[in-house]
Amino acid sequence: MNHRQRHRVRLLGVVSGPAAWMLAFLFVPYAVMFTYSFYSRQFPMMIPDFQFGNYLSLLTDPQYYKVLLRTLKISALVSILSVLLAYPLTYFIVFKIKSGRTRTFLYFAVIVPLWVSYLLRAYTWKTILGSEGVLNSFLIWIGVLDEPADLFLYSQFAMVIVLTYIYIPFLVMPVYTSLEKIPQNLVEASKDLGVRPFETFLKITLPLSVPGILAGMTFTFCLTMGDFVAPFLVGGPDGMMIANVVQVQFGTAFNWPLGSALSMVMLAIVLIIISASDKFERAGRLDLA
Amino acid sequence: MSNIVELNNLTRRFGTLTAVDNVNLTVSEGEFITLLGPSGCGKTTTLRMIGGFEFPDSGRVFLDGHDVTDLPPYDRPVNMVFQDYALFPHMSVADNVGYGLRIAGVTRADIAQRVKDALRMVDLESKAQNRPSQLSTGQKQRIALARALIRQPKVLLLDEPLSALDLKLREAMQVELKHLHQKLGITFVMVTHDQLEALVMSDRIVVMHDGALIQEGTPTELYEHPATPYVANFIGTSNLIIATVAETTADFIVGSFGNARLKASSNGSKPPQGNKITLCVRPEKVRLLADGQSVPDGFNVLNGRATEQFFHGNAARIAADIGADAPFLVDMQLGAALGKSQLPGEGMQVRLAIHPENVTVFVEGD
Amino acid sequence: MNTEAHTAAINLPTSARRSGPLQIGGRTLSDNAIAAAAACALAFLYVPILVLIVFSFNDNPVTTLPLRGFTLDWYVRALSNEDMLTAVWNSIFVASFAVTLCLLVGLPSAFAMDRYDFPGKSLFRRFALLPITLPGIITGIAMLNMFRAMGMELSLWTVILGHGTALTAVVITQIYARLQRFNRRLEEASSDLGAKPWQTFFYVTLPNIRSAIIGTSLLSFTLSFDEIPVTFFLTGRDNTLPMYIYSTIRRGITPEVNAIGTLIVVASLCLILFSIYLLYSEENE
Repeated sequence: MNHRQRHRVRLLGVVSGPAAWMLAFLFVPYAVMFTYSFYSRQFPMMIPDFQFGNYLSLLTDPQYYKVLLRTLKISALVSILSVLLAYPLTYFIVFKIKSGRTRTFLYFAVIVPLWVSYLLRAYTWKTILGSEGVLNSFLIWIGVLDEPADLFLYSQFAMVIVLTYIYIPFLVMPVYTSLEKIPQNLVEASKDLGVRPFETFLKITLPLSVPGILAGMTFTFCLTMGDFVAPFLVGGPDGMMIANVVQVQFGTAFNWPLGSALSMVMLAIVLIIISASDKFERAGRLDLA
Repeated sequence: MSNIVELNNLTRRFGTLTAVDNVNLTVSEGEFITLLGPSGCGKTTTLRMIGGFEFPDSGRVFLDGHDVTDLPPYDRPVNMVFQDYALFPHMSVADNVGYGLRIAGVTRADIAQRVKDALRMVDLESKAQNRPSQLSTGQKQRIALARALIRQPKVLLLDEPLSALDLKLREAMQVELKHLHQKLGITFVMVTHDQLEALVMSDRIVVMHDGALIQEGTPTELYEHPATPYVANFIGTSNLIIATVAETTADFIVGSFGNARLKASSNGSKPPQGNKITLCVRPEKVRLLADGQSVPDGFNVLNGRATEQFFHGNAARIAADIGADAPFLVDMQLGAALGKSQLPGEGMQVRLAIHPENVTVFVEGD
Repeated sequence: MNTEAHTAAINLPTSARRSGPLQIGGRTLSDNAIAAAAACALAFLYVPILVLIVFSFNDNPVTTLPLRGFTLDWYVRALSNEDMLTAVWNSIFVASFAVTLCLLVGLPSAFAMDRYDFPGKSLFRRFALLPITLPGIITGIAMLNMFRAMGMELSLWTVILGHGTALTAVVITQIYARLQRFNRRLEEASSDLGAKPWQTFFYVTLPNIRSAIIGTSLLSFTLSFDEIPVTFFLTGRDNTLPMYIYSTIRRGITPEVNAIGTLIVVASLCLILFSIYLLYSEENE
């Protein structure tokens, strides 16, 4: 057996297992979901069919498209707010901290909470924002409020707060990477030429960190779109997002075809945003190497 | 003496780049042969094809008479010392050296003894339990050697073994490797871009360029009788002068350039008058004539003006303008007979005497 | 939660490159403003966690200020809660099998991507990384549909398969990154010394990527423990810990949850820090 044959045998050995797995668990499920999205529903069953009714109801039924629009709005809000809060923090860590060790420590201080139970961290906001919660009792204690305010919890406001809270670290990471890559000599050259610090920031630092911002925002947007936990915890009646609607279809409403169709739409939106973001990033990419 | 390594029409391409172009080579048993050339000339790829780490697109590799072209490295009776030594970081020095024996199924006791002997051979017995990360570069290199030699291969392959060492250590290791070769009697195939190293250590040198074999021979042969201007300037230094044929006689070829003429001993070829040729003179074969000194019988004489002086400690190099495209270099030993102060200063007239035997002629196409 | 960002985080950019901060001027008003903004953001990040921890010891069934007394009551109750303990055990069970699955699929995938070129490689890569680019709910629902079509009942096993699918991408990214840093010459040397491919793999390759494997396993274990969206749709009668907490919270807030929460926070922190240590200890080899 010559080396080319040996190579091929080895390749087959290595790739066949994962390929089979991927076919079974990453391709088939989506194919099934795609198929189901065209089925019709006759309570409590669903019948094999090929009709676009499920997709149409998304466009025509306000119950659904309103929620979708709300979801897009909240995702956008969360992405923007997260950037606004994450950017100064990241900038501070990268540019204003002298010691490499402190910098690494702070970076991890920001990142580590990410791995600590999303559910719990989101849940604590319930306790903070509730009418008997920490925020209210604090405001009463310092005299700003006379009685607990109901508006903090169970509102879109609460959802945005919670989701922003969750996603700030997700934005720190790519922005950190982007800012770190900026060659020191670029900024120094700018300073040499007499450009004021703020202008240097606007003209050099900020543009060069755009890839990181873009990546982080895409992430945040896509993940927020698919979130059903935050609405469940703090959203209240007004706060349902598209993921909750999907959740219900597979739960009490038992409308699997509709649920599948809604999922496909979510999938499509996410994929479109990701590839748009990719193209955008590639178009504006600067080779700093 | 049998041929321990034979390469037949070896070719290896990477995409559109031909890294090794139809190379034919035979190596005799017990030889120390060096593949010499600049980066990218194909020498390392050729070496790796002998070791089994690359496979040729066409051509065959024979080791000790057997066709090993399709065999993987673990089935070939050769061992390699890698450029970065490739010592296993997660094993001790002793385990590194004994690795090959362990794979071969040698008993524990035997391994221990042979490892000890191998370490003694490279004078690093005390480091047996250290990790490779704790060794100096020179020590790592010796361990890599011990690891390769312990399996008693028929051929030892060395991929730029001394390139990571600093000058003094490199010179010491050149001598040590040569002694090792003489002591062990096995075939060494080395790859290097350092021509001095090749000259010092090798029985035979193979000069490569752009994937092709340009010339092979002993160090003396390559130095005294380079086949092309490329070889002439790659091995040692050469003055290369583009000239035209002024006349040819039975014994000489005369080339003219600028206002000067240079007579070269004929090499048998008779290039037609007016043809372009390259004249080649080694800097150390040029005699600097003192003021008033007469030109020795039969010697060429070139008149020029000294432009620069380079001090090499025990030697000096003068660059002179003799009317050719490039400065003409003259090397001289300094010492009791000639002191630095006696060298011609910048701008001074110089007369250079060269014997025709020390002028090599390359015709177009070399 | 979401795994792509997690894996990105693990690939820490080497801050060691920089020797010092960029001096854009002395300490100015803007410097102070930035520092203040940074401090606020950092506080914002940690306040909820502190609230969780503080109130788990607070002697008050309602989480409100001012604080009353110190008590370990909630911990006692949490730790004697049968349902919760079962849920913890289920999570451990699921995580262990899920991680094994991830390694079995992820290791060969990473090797395939690092060392071979084959037709369909970019498609392979895209599919492999798909679960971490999409919101978990989509993966969860897609797999639910498939199990339904197959007529398979939901149980801890479907959860395990779901986690395996979602988290394999974590293993692939981490191991692939480690393999890229691995010196291939070591394998050539091993081969040169007579070792057959499987011997080279076990004696040379594996020991050198061992800490990456362990680190990534710990990371995946932690992620599996906390997994919600995929689990939600694939859970049968037996709950994992997040599912248990989810249903508890639905019924109302009890400080018991704070106690459980604090325990989880501490345990996760330890596991994460340890796995980061492992994943970075080979940087300096």
